[in-house]
Order: sequence, then C-alpha cells, then structure tokens
Amino acid sequence: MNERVLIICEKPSSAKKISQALDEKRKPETCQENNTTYYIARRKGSELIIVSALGHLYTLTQSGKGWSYPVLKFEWVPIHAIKPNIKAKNCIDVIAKLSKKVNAYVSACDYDIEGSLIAYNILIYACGAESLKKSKRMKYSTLMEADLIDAWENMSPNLDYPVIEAGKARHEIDWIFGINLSRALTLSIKNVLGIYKTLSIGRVQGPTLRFIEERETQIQTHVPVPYWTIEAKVEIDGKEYRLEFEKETIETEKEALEIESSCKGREGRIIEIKKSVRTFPPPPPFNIGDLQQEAFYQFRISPKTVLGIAEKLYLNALISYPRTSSQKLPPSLNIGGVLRELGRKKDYYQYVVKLLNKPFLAPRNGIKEDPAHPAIYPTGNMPQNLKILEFKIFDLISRRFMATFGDSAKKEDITAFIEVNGYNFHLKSSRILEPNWIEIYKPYFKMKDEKLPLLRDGQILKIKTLKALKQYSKPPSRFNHGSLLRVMEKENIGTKATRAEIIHTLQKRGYLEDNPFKITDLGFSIVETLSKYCPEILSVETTRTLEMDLENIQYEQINSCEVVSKAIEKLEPILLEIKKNERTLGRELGETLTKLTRKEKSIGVCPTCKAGEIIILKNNRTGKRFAGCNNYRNGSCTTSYPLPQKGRIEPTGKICPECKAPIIKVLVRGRKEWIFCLNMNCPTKRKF
Amino acid sequence: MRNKCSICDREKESGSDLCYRHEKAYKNLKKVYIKWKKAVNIDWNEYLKEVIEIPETGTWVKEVALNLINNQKTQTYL
Ligand SMILES: [Zn+2]
Repeated sequence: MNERVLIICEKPSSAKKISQALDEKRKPETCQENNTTYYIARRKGSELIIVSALGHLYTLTQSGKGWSYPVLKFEWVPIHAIKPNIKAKNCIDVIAKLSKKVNAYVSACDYDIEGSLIAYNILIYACGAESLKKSKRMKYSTLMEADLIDAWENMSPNLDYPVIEAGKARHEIDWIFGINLSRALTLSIKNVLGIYKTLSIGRVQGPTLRFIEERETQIQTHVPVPYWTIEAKVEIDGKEYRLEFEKETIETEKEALEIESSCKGREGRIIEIKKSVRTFPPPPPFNIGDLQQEAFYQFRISPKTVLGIAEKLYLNALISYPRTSSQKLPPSLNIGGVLRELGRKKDYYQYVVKLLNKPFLAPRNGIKEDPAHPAIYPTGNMPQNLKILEFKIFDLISRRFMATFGDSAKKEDITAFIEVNGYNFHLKSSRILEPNWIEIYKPYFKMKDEKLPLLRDGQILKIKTLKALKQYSKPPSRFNHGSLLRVMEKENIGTKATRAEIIHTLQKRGYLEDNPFKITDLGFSIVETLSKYCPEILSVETTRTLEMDLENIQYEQINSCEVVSKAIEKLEPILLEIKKNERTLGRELGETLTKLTRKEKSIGVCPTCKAGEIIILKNNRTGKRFAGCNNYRNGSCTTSYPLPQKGRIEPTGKICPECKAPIIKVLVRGRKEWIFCLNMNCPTKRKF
Repeated sequence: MRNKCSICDREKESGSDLCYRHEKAYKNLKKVYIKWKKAVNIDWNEYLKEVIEIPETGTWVKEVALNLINNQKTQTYL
C-alpha cells in the first residue's frame, strides 16, 4: 500500500455511492465503529477510507460568558458541545481516529458553499490543521459512477478556499446578526416589562417579512375603484363566441351605458381579419429556483419540500445536483446517452425517438449561470419505488430536460375586427400549429387552443348579448410560496439554497401564517416597531449589498474578513439604536405579546363564576394541559376541564346552549377539525 | 390628551387623529373619491356607504369609513 486516503463525504448515502464507484471491484468493505459506518475501497494500490458527515458537525458559539449584547467574539465548536448529539459525537470521534492512519485527505462533500465548509471544519478541527496541506477537492455534479471516477481522477490539488471562506463568512455574519438582534429584542422586553420572551429576526428574514407586510398593508388600505367592461357575444353558425371591446376598461358609467345602448341588439360587420404566426422557443432546463416555482405552480408544494425531494433524487443518482442557479446544460454531457436511457420509460419513448432523429441536439440554455454546477438534468437512471410526489418532481425535471431539445412551437393568432354602430370589437382565436416541445412538456403546459369558423371580410354577425358590466379594482394578491421566492430572487436577497428555509423560519416564528401568506399580528408588530426605531434591519438594500459581498468572496474579489467587518459596522449602529430606544421599543413589542398571549389563552367566560376567563393551563406535575378558570389565582373559582393533549386549541367565541361551557375547536394536522363544549358531563355528550 | 387612534388603540400619527394604518386608509379613501366622483357622480356620504359594502375593500378602510359615518350621525344628532 503506497497511500491511505481519508475521503470526507457530506451524507451517508453519498459516502456509499462514492465508495462503490471508486472501489476497483465495486465491492467496498463496510465498517462499523461507535455506531458510525464508513467504507474502505481499494484503487490502484491505494486504500481509500470513505467517511461521512451528517451535514454540519461544527457550529458557531459565543466565546466567553454572559447574556448581553453586542456579542462579537465567537468560535467554531462541535454541535454536540451546544446540544447533546451522540450521533455527531461518535461521528467526529471515528473520523478523528481514522485520520491518524492516513497520509492524504479528500473533501468530497457537495460542491458548494455548505459542502466545502462542512469538509473544511472536519479537516481543521477533527483531523488537525496539518491535514489541510495534504487535502484535495473532488468536484462532481451527479452521483453517477462515471462522473465520480472522473471527479476522482481530475481532483483539484487544493481545497477550494475562496468557497470555504465565503461559507465561513456567511455563517459568521448570520450568526452575529441573529444572536445580537435576538438578544437586543428579547432584552428590551425583559428590561422594560420584566417578561422573558424570545423574539428573533434574521438578516434576510427582515426584508422578506417587510415585503409581506407591505403587501398586507396594500390589501387592507385598498379602496376599490369602479370601472366597466363590455361583455358581448356573437353567434356564428349557431355557436356563441366572446367579443372583446376595443378598450379593456371604461372609466365612467355614462360612457359605458352609452356604448351599451348604441350596440345592444345591433349587427356587427367584419371590417378586417388579421392572421399572425408566433413561435415559442422551449423553456431552459431547471435551476433550483425555477424548479421550486414550477413545482409550486403545478403541484402546490412548498419550496422547502421540493428542495428536499430534489436532494433525495440526487442522492439516488436520478438527477444532477439540484442546488444550482444555472440554466445551462454542460457541454460535456452525453445528451444522446441520457435521452436513450430516458427512452426506456414507456411514457418518454415516443419523444426520445423524435429527438434522437433530429440532425443535431442542442439544448435551449437559459441566461443564468453557476460556477459550480450546471442546470438540473436527469442522469438517465430509471426511478424505482419513488413516492408519488418524488415521481412528480422526477417527471417534471425529465420532461423539462427533453423539452429543452425540442423545436420551437408555432401558434397562429387570428383577430377579426368588427364594427358595431361605430364602435370597434375584436373576435380573437389562437391555435397551436406545431406543438413540438409543448407535446413533451404537455402535462405541465396550458395554452389556449380555440378555433374560429371560417370568416370573411364584410361578413355580418349577429350580436347575441351585450351589456356593460360594473366591476371594482382588486387589491394585489397575497404572496404564495412561488411569488415570494420570485420576489426574493429578483431583489437578490438570500441564496438559492437558503430562500426556502427563510420563508419556513418566518412561519415557524409565528410571523406568517397560511398560504397564501398572511402576516400575523406579531409579524406586523415586529415590522412596525423595527421600522420606527431601526429600519436598517428591514432594508432590502443593506441585505442585498451584503449578499453581493458574500458572493464576491467566492470570486476572490473581496476578502472574507473585510466582509465580516463591514457587516459588523452595519450592525453596531442598529444595536445602539435599539439600546437607545429600549424603553419604547420594549413597551411596544411587549404590549403586542401580552395581548397575543391573552388572546391565545382565553377560551371564553367561566360558566360557574361568570367573572373569570377559562384559560389553558398546564399541570406542573404531569405537564398535561387542561382548561381552568383564571380566578383560581385568587381562590374564588376552581372550575376546570380536561383537554385533548394533541392539536391546536382555538376558542370559537360560542357557548354550549345546554351547559353554558365554552365551545372549542381542536385542530390536528391532517384531520377534520373537532368542535365540542368543554364540559365532559354535558347532556349533549350523552348520546356518545 | 388621549394619544390613541380614534378607531383602534394604537398610537396616533403626529398631526392626525388616526394611527399609521387608519391614516393611510383614510388618505386612500380621499384619493379614490375623486375617481368615484368622476365615474358615478356620487356624494361623499353615499360613497362611504358603498365602499363598506364591497368585498374587495380593505378592512382598515372599512373601519375608517364606518367611523366617519358614525361621527357624522352623532354630529347631526347634536
Ligand atoms: Zn387605528
């Protein structure tokens, strides 16, 4: 044995795939130590020890003690030092032990900021700083055997330091912003009102929440403006067709009624017929943002879920690496090979045959690029045992990939210009002449395809119905997963890998609810208070500038220390402002919180003492929740009721007509809501 | 001196009797009235009553319109 190499992978499944690809006999040895699995592969006389992280094994924490702010000193520590995590501890111990037996190291984590940082932290902290000099970097975009062998044979001789630095800076800045803002807000409430309630707002969450707040304000301050449209139908060969009036909207009632009375019951005459043919080029292959938006549009699944599914498909070597911004397929890709493999699937066969018969195959790439990975493409491996949603995402990606090679579609638009008593109307139709790529992507593509009967100039048409319709302008729609992602992307806040998680965090913290998203009272209060005292936290501009600096670290255009210092310079005056306004800020946020807690906990008036309120309480001994009168505190009422231990309890504001106890609603995920009065001895329950 | 919005219990905006939300709704209500006047030649009171009935009207606008209607009533009673 001339060399022993430790290969660090990001997840157990990728470690397994890599070990199988690199072992010359395709049969790596599976080893177990401390409940941690690793593999030994042999290749050209070298022994390769393949270990796996479990995502990030190291995290940031405050250096030194104290619960105040600003906190600007921090260090990287194993995650189990912050919160017990035996799996992570075992994993680090095993890697540290194995690292002593080797003379070279390879980072084979996903080729992106997070992957590069995961391997770097393991190398420096578990294997020792000396290991860095002996470390190389494997870069691949799929977990296909050929790609992995190619990545092994063409490894970078060094670690990708600019990417690692960018990752470190991002984690450090997010940590500094997160911990300081959280402490500043929490302490402002605690110091003023004496109540302890954690409130947080992250660097990217601020501006994202602001978008939703602005939208909700537009909706709640919307005053509809009346306008009129002319709704008309003509009859041709016994069939009705919709006529469009030349003006989409009419501003005054007078004008609308004038048009109505002039045209109603009249005949129309075709004065001109125009035909045009439009071409529709195929869409580019997916990057992660496009995939998340399309999947939300098609299947109503959240971006976070889509990312999770895409990652699973990648780990099963069904698609290429999904966390990419690129809309371009790699020139090196064996397109014919992938298509032939996809053609083994019955549903795809006919499209593949057509594509392979083309004189040449060129994808219609998009504009967006990514230095690390190409657009998402299927590897050609056929899926087995996928769950329904997983298969839907696989199908979406595969069809999009195939459609990219299709010819442009052609559509014919016909517009007949019709004159009715001096007013102009249009009769429009469009039909697909050549579907081409649309045929492949059809389950996910909807295009109007309507035919008109044969029309000629001068033809007289009978106006069947015609009326002026009063309408009102509508407020803008609330954001949904797809539209919020689009805005974040357009405003350049967050990254392709973090946007979905940011939205999820805002929901988790109770600032957003439902989908489409509605800002909660707490979310409103946060935005309103912060915009008064420290608007910088909500500023898109601040976040975007920082985001660009972070990205430029990767391209070695700016130094990571400089970016972290700049971020701290931005944060310090914000923290000073919070401190300066602590009294008013704490009072305002505290008032909202107290109101919310009160609203949340009160179920209704106590039917026994009729003075107290029934609130949700916890039994200190058993930890179980129950409902009781809040007058128990002064000893004047002991009314209490058992509560179901699962689900969210909501007051209905109603009381039981029989026993006068409050009626509640219990919401358990995936089940029908359950409505009943609290009193278990109520006569209404006898029938059960 | 009461420092609260005359509709909700939020703090008043300076120079107004309303909070930020209701002040904004009130401004919109005044601005859009010009369009309504042109469209249907309606007087202010009728306008307020109609706006309240439309489902698309924002909640804060409805609260302001209702408040304006009620205040006018009290004034006439006085
Ligand atoms: Zn108000």
